[in-house]
Amino acid sequence: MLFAFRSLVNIARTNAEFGKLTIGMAKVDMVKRYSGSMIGVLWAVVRPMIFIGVYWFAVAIGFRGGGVRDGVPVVFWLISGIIPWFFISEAITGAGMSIRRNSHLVTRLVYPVATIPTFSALSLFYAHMMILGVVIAVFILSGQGLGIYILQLPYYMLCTLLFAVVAATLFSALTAVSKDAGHLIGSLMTLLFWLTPIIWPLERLGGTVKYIIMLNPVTYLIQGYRNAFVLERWFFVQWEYTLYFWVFMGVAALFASFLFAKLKDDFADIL
Amino acid sequence: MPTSSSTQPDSGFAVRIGGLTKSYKLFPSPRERALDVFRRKSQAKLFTALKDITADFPEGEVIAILGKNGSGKSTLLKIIAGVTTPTSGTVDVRGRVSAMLELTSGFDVELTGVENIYLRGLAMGMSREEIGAKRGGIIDFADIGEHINQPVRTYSSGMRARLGFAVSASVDPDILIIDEVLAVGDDVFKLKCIEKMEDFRSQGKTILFVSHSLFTVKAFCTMGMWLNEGKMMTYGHIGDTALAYEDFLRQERARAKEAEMAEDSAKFRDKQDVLEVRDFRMFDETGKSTTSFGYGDDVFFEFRYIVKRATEQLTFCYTLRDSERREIFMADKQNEANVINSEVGEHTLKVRLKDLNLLAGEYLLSGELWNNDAAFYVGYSNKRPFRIEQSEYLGTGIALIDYEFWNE
Repeated sequence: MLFAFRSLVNIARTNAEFGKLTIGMAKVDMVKRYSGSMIGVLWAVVRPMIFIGVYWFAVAIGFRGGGVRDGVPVVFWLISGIIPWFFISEAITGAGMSIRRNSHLVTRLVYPVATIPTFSALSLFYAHMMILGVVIAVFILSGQGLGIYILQLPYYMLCTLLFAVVAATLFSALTAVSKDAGHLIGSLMTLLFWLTPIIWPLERLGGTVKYIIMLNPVTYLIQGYRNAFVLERWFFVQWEYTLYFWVFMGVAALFASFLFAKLKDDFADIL
Repeated sequence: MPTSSSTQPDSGFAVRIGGLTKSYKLFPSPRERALDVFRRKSQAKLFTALKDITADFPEGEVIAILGKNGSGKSTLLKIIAGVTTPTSGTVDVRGRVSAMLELTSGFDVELTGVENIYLRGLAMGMSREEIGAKRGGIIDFADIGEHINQPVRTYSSGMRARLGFAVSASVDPDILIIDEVLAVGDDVFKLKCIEKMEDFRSQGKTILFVSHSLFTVKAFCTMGMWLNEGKMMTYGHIGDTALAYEDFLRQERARAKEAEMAEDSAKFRDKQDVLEVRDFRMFDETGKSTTSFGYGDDVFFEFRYIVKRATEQLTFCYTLRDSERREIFMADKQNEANVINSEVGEHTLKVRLKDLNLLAGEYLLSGELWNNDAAFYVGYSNKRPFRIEQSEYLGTGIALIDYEFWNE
């Protein structure tokens, strides 16, 4: 336990110390992701837009799910939930492989390894911010409009970024030492997608099942983005849930740090 | 075992290592490695790459690390560079280290050369402006033309080495670590690198250098450490270390040769149920057995061979080599004229090498009996040495080329 605390402090301190480097590396990482393509960073926006189009078509028109959900048109309801999901899933599968992908930094250079998952998550977060800009523009231009509740978006973005960094730290350590972990995580993503109220509304559930679904921290984040965009609910109104999320994050961060610190010395030898 | 010795006892050290040991954990499968994290007692097998190394690397020296592949050189450099951690022991590094470890040397192969320069600069803690200022110099030094804007994965090993050296040298380190990179560069580039390293040395910087070229090492390094199987064999002046290492290499080669010969004779036994060769001897024109001949004498040799199973078209062949194993002459194995008596039974073959005009020295005679249809051969002599003596001086080299001359 004490070791976990110490590791968490160490990792946090390393990330603070090399903050500038991390920001620079996040940019390099982003350039790398889109290098060699003609429209470059625009892909970050194009891809999710196509996804939304397909989901919207399938859910709203294909299944005749009705035009309105939770009092808002389905397409806006869908966008507000699926956009954070894109970021979260990419952070888990992409940044969750970051140490293996950046093995050159580990085995050939003197590099603060603890910042690799951070900059990978951050580089995905840049793309996420761009998409959010597009989404906000869509909301305003389409006449749907945004309420005062959008002011809590930065809070939920921060939560999501933190979640992404912790997940990336945990999973990148696991995938660095075992390829199986990578495949396992990839397979579990589909499960996570359907167990989270992303394309189905949480309110449809009741009783114990609803609370079990709410134990999933991703539910908190998705619901959060919905609160900000369409649901018109403040995060402090659901203070019990917010408290649960932060306790969960604390425990997860401790566990991730513990595992990362345990495995860190082996990275250079394994990769 | 000699420990640290400094040529300049008064000057400080750049790197001090004490009792350095590095073991790698080996697991039968990745699953075991994963499970091991949660076990209180590790079940890994240990491979010890470095055993209890204690030494000072003094400031301003160029130190060669010598040793065969797998002797722990790269591990030592990686530990000093801080890329990997020692299992036990201490490392004390004074100053900024720039390491070029192996060929890929920390490049992201998906990024272009220029982007990699930026990346390496960032990783070394430089600002964008600092990197921008150095970029031109690095590109000039690497001298790889248009390729600098192409992804590094498209580079040849020579281009990678060029860019890697240019980047490593440009960050103005106190300690420069160069592992095995000059091997792939061409001579012009090698010279450029050595010049650059000379430059570093004159600025009082420390260089740790791994190369398999003993020639380069002896010319350029001031101190040497020889590692063998993770243990430090000698450490001190480069001349002494190189001498000890060279001697060791010679012995290794001799051992390898013995093993090879043992293998040959094993093969020979396998074929004994088809063809057996025995009683090889060399003799002079009087019939007396000898391995020493005069210049210009005929050299005779003979052996008995027993054909045990019907074999067609046995061809005999021989090879002459000089003492450094360079081939002087090999008879044609496909030549119909060299077919010998191949009937079942025992035969003797006598061979005369006529008017041998080899100059004085030691020579080696090898020979085989071939059957081309069966791709089968049996050696009757494996690099058997014989001497040529010579009473008058005729010139130097291997063989006398007969000549005449005239004025017109």
